[in-house]
Amino acid sequence: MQNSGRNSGWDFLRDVWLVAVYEAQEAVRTRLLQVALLGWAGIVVAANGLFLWVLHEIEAAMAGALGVPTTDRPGAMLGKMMEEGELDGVARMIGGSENVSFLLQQPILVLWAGAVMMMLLPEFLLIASAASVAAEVQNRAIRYLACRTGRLQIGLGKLLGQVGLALLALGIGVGLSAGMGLFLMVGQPVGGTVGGLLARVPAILAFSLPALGLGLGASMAARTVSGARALALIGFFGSFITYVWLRAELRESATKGVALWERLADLAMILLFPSNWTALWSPEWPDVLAAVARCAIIGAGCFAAGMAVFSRRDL
Amino acid sequence: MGGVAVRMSGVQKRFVSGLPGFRRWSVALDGMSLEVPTGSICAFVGPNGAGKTTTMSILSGYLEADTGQVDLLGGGPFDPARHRGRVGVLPQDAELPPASSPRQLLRIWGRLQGLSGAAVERAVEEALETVMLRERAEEPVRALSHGMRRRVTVASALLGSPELILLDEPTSGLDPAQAAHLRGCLEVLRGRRTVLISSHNLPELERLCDHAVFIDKGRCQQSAPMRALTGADRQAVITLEAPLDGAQEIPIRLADSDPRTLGEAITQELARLIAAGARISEVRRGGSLERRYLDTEGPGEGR
Repeated sequence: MQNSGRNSGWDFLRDVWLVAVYEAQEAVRTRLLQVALLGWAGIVVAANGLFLWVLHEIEAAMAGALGVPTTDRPGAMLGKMMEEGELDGVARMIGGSENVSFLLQQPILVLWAGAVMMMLLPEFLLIASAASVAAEVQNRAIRYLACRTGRLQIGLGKLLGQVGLALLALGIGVGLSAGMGLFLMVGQPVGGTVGGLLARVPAILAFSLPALGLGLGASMAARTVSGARALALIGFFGSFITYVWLRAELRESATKGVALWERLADLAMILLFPSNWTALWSPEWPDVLAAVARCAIIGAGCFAAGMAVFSRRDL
Repeated sequence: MGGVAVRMSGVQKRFVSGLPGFRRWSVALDGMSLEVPTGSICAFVGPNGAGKTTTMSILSGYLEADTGQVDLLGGGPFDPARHRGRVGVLPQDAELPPASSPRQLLRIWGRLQGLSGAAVERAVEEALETVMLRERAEEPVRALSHGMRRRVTVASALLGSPELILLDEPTSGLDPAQAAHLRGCLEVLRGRRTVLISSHNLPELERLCDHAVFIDKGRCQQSAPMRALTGADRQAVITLEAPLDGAQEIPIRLADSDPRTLGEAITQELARLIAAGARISEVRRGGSLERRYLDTEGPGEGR
């Protein structure tokens, strides 16, 4: 039967899901996204490859200095040091925190690949999501959806579709890293690398939420893809630059003791997504959850601002 | 059926362009009022810039009217929650997503319209059959020609047999056979569905529609049944194979006071002509929609 005025919560969720499927189905088949995913895979492989090369060089130099035999593949010496706690001891000697000790218990490739993906996934999603709605507004394809479901369902469906793409990109990154660990390193079993990276996926995804919200918000507010991307990039790098500047200012004002300015700057820092990087690597769950919540709120705020424009605009 | 499927009353719509301080406003609709009878196939006619697409876009919910009332199927202005599945729309100039196939797109759109399970599959196959696209239904849209893409958009408007169908230039880009086939499909809907068609193809509209709305400068100029507009009940033209008394076309116009039907008048005139030795070539009831349009709107200079 055709719909005749249904508006239940179930229908709302169904529409969001259908739009997400539509978004992901269309995006995955577009050559631009296929190229972008290939680029993403290439960057992950290149970054991991660079790390393994550097690690191999360091281990070879250390083996030479210590007069012990070297291995063809990197990871043996570092793995042994981490296993026996020597690296943790060194870190503590130079002032490392509990946080660092926690991190040094993780497989080294998990730390590296996790950090690389956490650093690059936001940019990948920012660019992809900025085109999501704006491209369809620009060529008016959005009209096929707008006459069938509400604009909030369209926006949320697009968001969910982009989360799906993020999970796909992360899956590619995890798979490639695990493979490189298995075949190019010593002592990096697939299970450990995959398990460690999968455990990091929620944090990586959370750190990407502000970029996702910003990209989609810009996409809903602008009329063209280039306008949306420009808006999103200004917001993204603007908040990064502001974060760096505020951190420097805070360090300086701490020595001067300007209490009001410190409070204001602390408050402003909450709104800047880069401030959550450290907390998302913390061993303390409350810190991680608070950072996840802050990232989600920043992303939701950007999304809501874009939706406010999109819900009333001419299509 | 009976009643009114589409009603607009005093609708105004302005568009703004330019930067703040240098803004220019253009009036697209200036008090547009119209009614489309339920079950009719209604032609929506006007010169370029008259406000046809703006009107269709407001009816479809893509644009919001600045002032005035809009009512579709008795449920107020277009709202996806109230009207989805009940109103089918063929938007003008809207590109299709290039990577999906027509069948995939129609399936998703059908589900968004509230169809489910076997009903979606049935509706998709019917729509593809209507636009003669089943054989290419699995290919990505980007591999289809312009005409085929147009047929996908027509299929999207007809998907699930909505009560009201809004078509903006439906046969634009279709070849003559496809256009004739689509006309046939729309004719079948007469009396069962309400169809509003915006087009510049007046002969086609005249063949297909039973009601017409003329608009210009953002206002409705005339709205009437097609037979009344073309004079199909009150006038006819008899064409002779050779001139008789210097005239090859014999017009018949019934005065309002004439008690005869047009059929009776034609029969009497034919009898007189045949008795006079004339050979009949053609009998055509009414004038043309094009003639009436040009009489109403003028030849279009300076538009």
